[in-house]
Amino acid sequence: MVMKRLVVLALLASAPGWAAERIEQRHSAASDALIEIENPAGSVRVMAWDKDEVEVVGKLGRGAQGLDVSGSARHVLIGVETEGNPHGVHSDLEVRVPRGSRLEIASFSASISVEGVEGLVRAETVNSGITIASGSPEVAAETVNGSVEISCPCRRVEASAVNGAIRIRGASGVIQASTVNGELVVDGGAFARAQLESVNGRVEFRGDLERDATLDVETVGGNVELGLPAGVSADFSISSFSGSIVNDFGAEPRRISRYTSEQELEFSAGSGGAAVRVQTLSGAIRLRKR
Amino acid sequence: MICAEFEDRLDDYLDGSLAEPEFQELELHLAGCGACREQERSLRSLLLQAAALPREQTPRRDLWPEVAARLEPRDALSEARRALRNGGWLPAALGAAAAVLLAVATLLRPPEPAPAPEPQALEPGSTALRAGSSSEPTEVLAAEREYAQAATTLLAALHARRERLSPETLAAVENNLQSIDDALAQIRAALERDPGSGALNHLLASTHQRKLKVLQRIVRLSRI
Repeated sequence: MVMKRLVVLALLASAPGWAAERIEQRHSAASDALIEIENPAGSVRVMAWDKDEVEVVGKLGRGAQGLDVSGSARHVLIGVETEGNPHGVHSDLEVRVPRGSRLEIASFSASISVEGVEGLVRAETVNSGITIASGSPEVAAETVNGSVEISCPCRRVEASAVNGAIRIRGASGVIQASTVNGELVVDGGAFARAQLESVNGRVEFRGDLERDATLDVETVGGNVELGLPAGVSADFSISSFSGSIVNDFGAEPRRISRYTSEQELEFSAGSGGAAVRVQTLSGAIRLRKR
Repeated sequence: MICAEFEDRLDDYLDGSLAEPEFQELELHLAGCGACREQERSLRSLLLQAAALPREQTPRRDLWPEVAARLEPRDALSEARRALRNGGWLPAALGAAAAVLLAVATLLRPPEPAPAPEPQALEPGSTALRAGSSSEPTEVLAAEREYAQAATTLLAALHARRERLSPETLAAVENNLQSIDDALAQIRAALERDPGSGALNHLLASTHQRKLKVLQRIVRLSRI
């Protein structure tokens, strides 16, 4: 795993002391190179350019022993070298990469942003947010205490946060997203499979469904709003134990228990085919025509 | 001969399978070593008692159906626990939780409706919503215990790494785990009012799974 390099580099670093250091390094890179970036804390900003070269500029934080830029043109490794606990070393990196690069970015508490890259992007951090605005076909972003913002024409997106919002725009195809307390908003094209989960955050989906698609939404307390084309063809299965259900497509929910307020709504729109399933304990559900 | 060598050959001595020179050698050692004489007497007594036991004990009822019914999920757990004992405990903790996810999901999962075509499975054991019948309360309790056990394992792993997390992150994690626990309590309360609800049973299971996935994710990311 690439993360181990941080530890190795920390052990190898032997020069004592620290001085503020501005950095500027370059490395040749193929137009579709795999580029791995590791920075324990601070920020990582990646921007695409139309050169077969990687450029790293920025500032290393206290405790950094240097910046390692190595590897081959096909596989470039960029890592902040540290001594001791790397998590307190805040460095700010601006990295320019070939537009078609594939990116893997790992951090502990650095904010991560990616702009314009058209290869696959995978980013993970713990204590900060992730912003990706790219032309990537596939994006995966994962954080714990931060938000995830993705804007791309992706055909596949995986996004997760614990204590933060997830907002995804422009995607289509396959999407999987989950959070605990943040809102989860998806505004995209036509999906083949969408799985959206939240515990308390609201879930909003605006998009279309491919033929035989599945759209699964589940929350415990979060409200759910689905905005679907008026002419959508889908089979709906909606239930809420104690929340309201409002359906712009016509059919009325029915109460399914004499003893509780549990409601269920099952109907087909158009010629059916796609499956839309929504389940919540106490969240309100709204099916809206777009 | 030293005592260790005597111990190595004691079984063969009692079996009578030693060659004469070795037998004589052990007899000689026994004559001069009280500790080994005591050991020899104890083992001989134990073997005599064992020989007096009935050759076969038939259970009063057939236990196999119950064992078989639980074999698959238990095996998954056993594998994870074995890994926990033999390997690094953090990967094992993640593995144990994953095994519980699969095992308990099997226990709690309502019957599948007619299979719908899925373009691409995102993850094994993922929580696609299903309408279905309810689980037995005892199954639910057993499943909840398994989930709790897995969560405890992961929390211990997280605790071991807590110095790597900032106070803000730890507070956020604790708040979010509390949110999930509150949600679980709400679902249980709803289940008390409507124990026959398959949807609620499903929601209970998937919320437990979500808690474990959150813990897995935090533990994994805290290794960065």
